[in-house]
Formats: sequence, C-alpha cells, structure tokens
Amino acid sequence: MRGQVPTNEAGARHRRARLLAPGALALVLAAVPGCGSHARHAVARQVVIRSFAYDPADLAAAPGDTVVWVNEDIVPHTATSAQAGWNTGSIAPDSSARVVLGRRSFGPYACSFHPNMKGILTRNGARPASLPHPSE
Amino acid sequence: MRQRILVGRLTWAAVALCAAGLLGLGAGSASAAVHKSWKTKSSYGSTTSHMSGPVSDANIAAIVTTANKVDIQNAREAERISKNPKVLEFARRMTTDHTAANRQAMDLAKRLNLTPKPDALSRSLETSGTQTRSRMMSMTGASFDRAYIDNEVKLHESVLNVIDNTLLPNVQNADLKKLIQDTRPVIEEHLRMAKDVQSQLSTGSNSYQR
Repeated sequence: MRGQVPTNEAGARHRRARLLAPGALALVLAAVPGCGSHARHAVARQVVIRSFAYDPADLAAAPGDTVVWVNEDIVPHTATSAQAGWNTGSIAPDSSARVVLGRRSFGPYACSFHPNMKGILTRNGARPASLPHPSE
Repeated sequence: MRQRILVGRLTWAAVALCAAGLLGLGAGSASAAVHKSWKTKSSYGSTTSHMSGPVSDANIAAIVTTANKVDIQNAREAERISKNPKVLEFARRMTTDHTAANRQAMDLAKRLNLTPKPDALSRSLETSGTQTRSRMMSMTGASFDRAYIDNEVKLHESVLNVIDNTLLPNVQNADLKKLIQDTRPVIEEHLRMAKDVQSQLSTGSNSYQR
C-alpha cells in the first residue's frame, strides 16, 4: 500500500466534493505526503458513483494524483483493485473515499460488493496540466 | 366512464400481478394470488374503490419500506440456513444494501413528514413474505438455496415491475420520486446478481459440497 492512502470521508467533505465536475481537473493539492518535489502539481480527480457505475469509468491520472470516489447511490460501494493492491473500503451513501496513486496503482478496478461495476485507471503519458499553485 | 373503470381495473390487475410475483416460490402460488386478488376485488364492493384508487405518496412509502423489509428478512434466513458461499455472499449483500436503502427511505419520509400508510399492495407483500419464508424455513441444503435464489429473482423482477408501473407513474413528491429512481438500479443490479447465482446453482459451478 506504499504511496496509496485510502481514506473514507464523511458527508461534509462529500458535499464539498460534489461541487466538482466528474473527472475534471479539479484542484491542486497544496501538499501530498510522500510526493516530494511533485507535490504541488498533484491533481485531485473525481469519480462519481451513480446508478451502479463509475463516472468516468476510464480515468487518466498520474502517480501522486489523488482519486476521490463520491458515492451518490443509496447503497454502499467500494473501489477495489486486487491487481494493484488498493481498496477504498466501504464507501457509504453520500460519502467519499480517496486513494493517492503510486506508480503501480493503475489498471482495472471494481466494486467488491457489486462485481458488475468496473472501472479503470489509466496512467497518463505526461503529467496533466494543473491549475497554478496559489503561491505562483 | 366505462373506459375509466376499465383502466382502473387494468391498473389494479398489473399491481396484483406484481404482488403475486412477490408472493411465492413457484408459478402455482403466483397464479393463486392473482385469482385471490381479483376475487377480493370483485367480491367486496367496499374495498374496490380503495384498491383501484390512486396510490398516494404515503402508500408508496409503505410499499418501499415493506419491500426492503421483506428482502432483509429473507436474506437473514438465508444467512442462517445456507452453507453455500455464493448464496451466503448474495444474502449478506441483500441485507447490507436493503438496510441502507431502507434507511434512506425512512429518513426521507421523516424529513417530508410522511407517515407510511399500508395499502392492499404493501399488506400483500408483507403477508406473502411471511408465508414464503415459513415455507423456505422447512427446507435445507441445495433445496433451500434454489428456493431462496429463485424467489429472489422473482422478487426483484416484481419490484422492478411495481416501480415502473405503479410507483413512478403515481408518485407526487419530487424527492420521493428521486429516491425511487435511485432505487431502480439497485433492484436491477440485485436481479443480475441473483440470476448469476441461480445460473451457478443450476450448473453446479460453486464450491458448495452437497
């Protein structure tokens, strides 16, 4: 689980996260532990879980980025990659969970509760553009 | 006027058919239930207007919470009786998901000051759920597993039918309508999962030692 920090978040954070467009280049993290000099450029990306599907189902990201899964369904879900060895754990309705991506976090994932729900994290060839850091 | 009466009767027939699907394990009990519903309607004038009348939001709240409750109770029996890992996993999922869905329904009803009001359909769901469970509780092993999963397929098919033909066309409150719309994919996915397990049981592709 090195370099990957699954975190469940409560409703308050979720409501804030819902303001973001799904999959958008959302916000710049001021600091991501363990990301060294790249920390200020790491991007938080959002995947919305709605109607038993991940949106977007295919998300391009880079190591150091944070992916936030927001559960808008009325039942709990997970985002779990057995292959890459990360797992958000149960994400309750109206809650969210995040994973900070390591170099090996990419590939297919699924909901361990509802195996028909599938998504994929694709590694970006180049680091995506990010919003300027507030100090710049 | 005659046309309106006919439409009302057809609507009730659809509801009764859906309720019948929720009743039992086999086609025999379902057709018996349809017959009983029609007999009730045609025999008791005082209940006719209630049964063919509009379904209120309070009735819908009762139908939703009862359907969740019936499936939770079925799943708890399966968790107690079954030894098949696939069936147990499915039952645990039903317990978790329907508990979560029911909590949302109860919270919304509270927020809307809506007291669930049982009607013929929700009462029929409750009664038939009890009858089905008592029949299943006398079974064990593979017979129980098949009966439980077959019933889950029928139950979720019927609930989808009720959502599409009774709840969504009648619901008035926008928040309650959204809850029902959000519930539909849950039922759809559960149906898919139940059919997967049903197919595994029929081909014997599971690790259960009979």
